[in-house]
Amino acid sequence: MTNKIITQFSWLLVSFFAVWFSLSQINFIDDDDVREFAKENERRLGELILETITSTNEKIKNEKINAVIDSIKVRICRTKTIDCEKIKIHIIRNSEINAFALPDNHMVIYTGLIEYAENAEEVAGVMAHEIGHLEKNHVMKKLVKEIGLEMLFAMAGGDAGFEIARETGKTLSSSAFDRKHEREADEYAVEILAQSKVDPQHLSNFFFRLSQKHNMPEELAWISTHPDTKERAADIIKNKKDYTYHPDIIINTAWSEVKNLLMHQDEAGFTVDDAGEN
Amino acid sequence: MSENIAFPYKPDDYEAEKASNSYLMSVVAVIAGLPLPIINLVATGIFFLGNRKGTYFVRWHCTQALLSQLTVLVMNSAGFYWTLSIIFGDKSYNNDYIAYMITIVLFNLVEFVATVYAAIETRKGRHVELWFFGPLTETICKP
Repeated sequence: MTNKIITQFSWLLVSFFAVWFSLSQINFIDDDDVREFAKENERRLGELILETITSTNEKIKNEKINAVIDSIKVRICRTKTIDCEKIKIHIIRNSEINAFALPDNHMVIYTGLIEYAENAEEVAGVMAHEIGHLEKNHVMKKLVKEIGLEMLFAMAGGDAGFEIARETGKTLSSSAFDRKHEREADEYAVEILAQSKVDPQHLSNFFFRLSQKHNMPEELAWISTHPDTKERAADIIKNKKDYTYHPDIIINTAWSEVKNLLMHQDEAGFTVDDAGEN
Repeated sequence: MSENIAFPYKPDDYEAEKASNSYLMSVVAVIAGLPLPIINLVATGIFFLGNRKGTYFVRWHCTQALLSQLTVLVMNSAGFYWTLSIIFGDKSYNNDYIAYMITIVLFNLVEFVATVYAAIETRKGRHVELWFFGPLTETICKP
């Protein structure tokens, strides 16, 4: 009887896996088509959300400021063979201390964050963290989860209004990723910062300084979207011990000069293009 | 898939009805059990517990119905949690997933047909042993 049970069970198991395996050989989804379709939709989505941001906020086009931020980006990207060109950074005039990633590798940095940072390394830390979200595809995962695939397709196809795109932008700029994704982005940031010869301690300092602010004014947007800040600042210090690096100066310009440029652009004679021009 | 085998005694009409109901319990529960596979098992399990002191014929068929539900539960639960992890987690929608879902639909269909067949036959007082579950029940359920 036992033999009969084992034989029949084996047949059952084998037939189950044989059917599953045979069916999985059928190409129900063409991966290339899906990837191409997703890429194109993500591109449209990114443009649309960015448009909602630049329509109400001035986009900084000061060459010198953009060059500084760009040189930080290049420094971070070159170490982990990230395609530098694909990451498009937009500096937006807004007093909130905030930076966030958008679909299609767009990254928005508010001037409030640049002004609050004490040095270029802190900005590099925040950028490395946001690049982590981009590289690990957290942005699209978050949107699919919170907005829904159907709504995203409607937006990409131009069937959902401007208001919905604006709300989607708000979701990305003012709500947190889940804890697992935040930790992944932190770990990624520590790794690429160490490889870029930037001390991850600066990112930890930035987190810690923000968490020390007891009152949470509206300007502290980045901290409200990045919970457990103190704990994560400690984790960054712990993680950085896994890497050996010799910190090297990141930009030759003094950070105070960059901040000065932002605050006194008109006086300094630099031009700021009209909002939403690009 | 199943075979009609002689039972040690001829069950009366009351026993045949009870035995047949044990299969119907899992079939009826399918309506409420989708997409929560546990409901089928709970329904069959409650019926099994209610009849564990019944006659040998009734107990035998309640056990066979319960065991067949257990197997389906394992398959369906895997599919259910795979679906949840696609919707809420990091898993992606791919060929393996679609193939798995079609496979469990096919196996559920086979199980459904076998269950209905067993319900009809036992109602007529005939003893039916399902593939694998019959011999397994024979080992577990003693007169």
